[in-house]
Amino acid sequence: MKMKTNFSLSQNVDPTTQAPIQRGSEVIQLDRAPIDKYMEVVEVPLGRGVARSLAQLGLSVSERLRVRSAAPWGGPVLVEIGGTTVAIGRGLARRIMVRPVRKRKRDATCLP
Amino acid sequence: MPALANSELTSHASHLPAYSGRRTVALVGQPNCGKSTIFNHVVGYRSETANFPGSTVEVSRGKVRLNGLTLDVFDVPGIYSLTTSNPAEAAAKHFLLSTEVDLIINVVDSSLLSRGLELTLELLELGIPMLVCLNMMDDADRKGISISIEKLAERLGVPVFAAVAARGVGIRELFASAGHYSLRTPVGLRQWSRDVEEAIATIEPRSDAAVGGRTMPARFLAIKLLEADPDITALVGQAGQTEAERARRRLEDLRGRSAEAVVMAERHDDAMRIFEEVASVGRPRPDIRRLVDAVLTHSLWGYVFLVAIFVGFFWGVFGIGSLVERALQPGFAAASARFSGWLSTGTLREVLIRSIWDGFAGGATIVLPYVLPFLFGLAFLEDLGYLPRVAYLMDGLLHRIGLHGTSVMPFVLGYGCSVPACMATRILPSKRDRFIASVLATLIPCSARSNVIFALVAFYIGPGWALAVFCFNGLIVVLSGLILTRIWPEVSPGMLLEVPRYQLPRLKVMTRKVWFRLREFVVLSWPLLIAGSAVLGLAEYWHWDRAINWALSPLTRLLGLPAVVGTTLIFGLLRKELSMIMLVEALGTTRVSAVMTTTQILVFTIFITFYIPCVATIATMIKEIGRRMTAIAVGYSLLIATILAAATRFVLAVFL
Repeated sequence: MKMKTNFSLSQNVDPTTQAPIQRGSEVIQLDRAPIDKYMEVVEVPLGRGVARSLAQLGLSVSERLRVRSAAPWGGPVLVEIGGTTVAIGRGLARRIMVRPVRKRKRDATCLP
Repeated sequence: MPALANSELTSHASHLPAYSGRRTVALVGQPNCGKSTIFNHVVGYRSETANFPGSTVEVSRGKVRLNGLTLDVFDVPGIYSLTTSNPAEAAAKHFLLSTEVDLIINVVDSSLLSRGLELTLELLELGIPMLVCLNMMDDADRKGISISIEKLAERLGVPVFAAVAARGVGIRELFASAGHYSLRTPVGLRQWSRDVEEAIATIEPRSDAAVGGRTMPARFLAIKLLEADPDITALVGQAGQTEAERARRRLEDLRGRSAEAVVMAERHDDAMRIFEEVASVGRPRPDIRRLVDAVLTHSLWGYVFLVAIFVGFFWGVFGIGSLVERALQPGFAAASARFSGWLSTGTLREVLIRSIWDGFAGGATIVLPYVLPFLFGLAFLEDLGYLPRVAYLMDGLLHRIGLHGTSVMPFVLGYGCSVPACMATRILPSKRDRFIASVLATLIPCSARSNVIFALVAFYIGPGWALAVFCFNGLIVVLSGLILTRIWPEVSPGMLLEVPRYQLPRLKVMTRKVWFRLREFVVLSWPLLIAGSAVLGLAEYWHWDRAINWALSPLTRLLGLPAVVGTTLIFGLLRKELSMIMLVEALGTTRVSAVMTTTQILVFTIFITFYIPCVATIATMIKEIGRRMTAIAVGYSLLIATILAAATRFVLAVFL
């Protein structure tokens, strides 16, 4: 199916309507995400292989994650994703957009 | 148990035909999946294992003989994917592309199967015979994940073995059939979605490359070119590159995302689909490690524990070390005196034998008592998996000095020995990060320098002063980092570090690791100590030392140290403890505090702590960051050592 080219290249698409999910009020930066709440990745920063490195650790658009803690002094954010825990630097976390989602039964077991 | 005995393997493989010759086997997998544990189990401890990502930075090689076959086993640094992001991963990729590998054993952390499968699918594209080892099955079980090995083998088209490498389960079965499977090429190459297949079809005929005599399957090349892999793109000719660019552009127009993103997304979806087909996820068992982590990464308690752990570490090493040193010293000193009694004093023979004995005694009473507890403590923290948590806690502060958070790894290693610390900088992504981390890692007192601090300052003046020296050193490291960052500014990419599960350190593995690191001291450095001591004895006998001391007298005078100290500083180039042992030699007594004042001891120690790294470290630095950078680093160390030692002398003269 031919997709429109004026999409943001790493933006999420609503599975039912195939329309892009707009940056609504509920979409926030990862470093501001509440602790211990399930979030879904909406947008991932591009450039210099960053998106690729993130994807290699399991963080890509439409993946679910949960923030465990944030270190003080502008330190990294500790995130549970894809069955493992990853520390993401604050600068990076600021550029990753997420939105809250409802907890699924699978989440409790797939996230450690 | 080092190598698998022939007889144990033949019973398993007796139904398989015996093959002769050599096979090259590569252990490939994502970081922390247990490759090195398997390697050490089969080949004997030769690969560094630690519970943090990036602990293996070099390709290690070992040999196993089974069933008439010789296997050259290679332990390769962990890679998340064949598209690499730091030199350690690049080493792995280069190895796989350029070596004639007969069999790949893909080690996968079973509890992270869906992610691990992404690398598995990439490796299958290489067209090399492959086995998949599902390691850490116990952790998968604890998470409630149950995997059907048969279904997975069927779906992937390669044999799959289960294992718990940490307990030695399943490794025998894995290697017993290695000879047999190394001759089977994986069947049933995956089909991508239609437009991707079309893109591959256009690139395939134009892509043709061989690296180091090994030709790669055209399909693999085509896929990698579609992904815009820089290393592969550099290998193919102009025709292939233009065709690839065209195909990428076409796919991008069709899909609205970069070709690379399309390929990665499809591989990701495929991995997920396979996972859902072969695994079922049930209720996980409650895991206390979550609670432990909640405390150790807490915004307040995390730091409280961090300080407590490192201070406790320091106290433990000093406590045990000084206890042993105090116990051993009288015995060795008495033996030394007895030598002087038996042999007529002043002869060449007496001087030589006495200095050889002093070198030996120095190693036994001054070095070993501190090195052993230190190495054990470090091994414990490493295997526990605490170090990535340290990186997490310290990253915020390290960024203020312009450093990458993962630099914590080389720094912590630097407290043991600068050589692995310099090599560990390979896990850092940028050249500038690697340079700064190398320089700072060598400023950190290695166990040799720490020994001087313990055995000299702590022993003769007091442990509080020794702690002060360590803290002072830490301060200087931070300041140096700030200066270096100002000179070479560059935006450090954000930290991206996987924080693995805690593992309970196993005494057997820890002991082997300590012996592995200690062996280098026993086999190399201790004889060096003895030889150096002998040379100094001879130098004294023939009065060469007077010339050296005279040449260095401007330095010793500036620092307010006795002139005889000059020669001892030269020996520090070989090994830092040599300086201290030579000091005792040169002063003519073990009761250092009787001959040198508190200030002098501190000035001497400060100088030793900061000045020129040992030859082994210099050699490693040249290899890692190049000759020019190493020269800068060495010059810097001499400069600040002189400045700081002199400053210490004048400041303390006011207060003491």
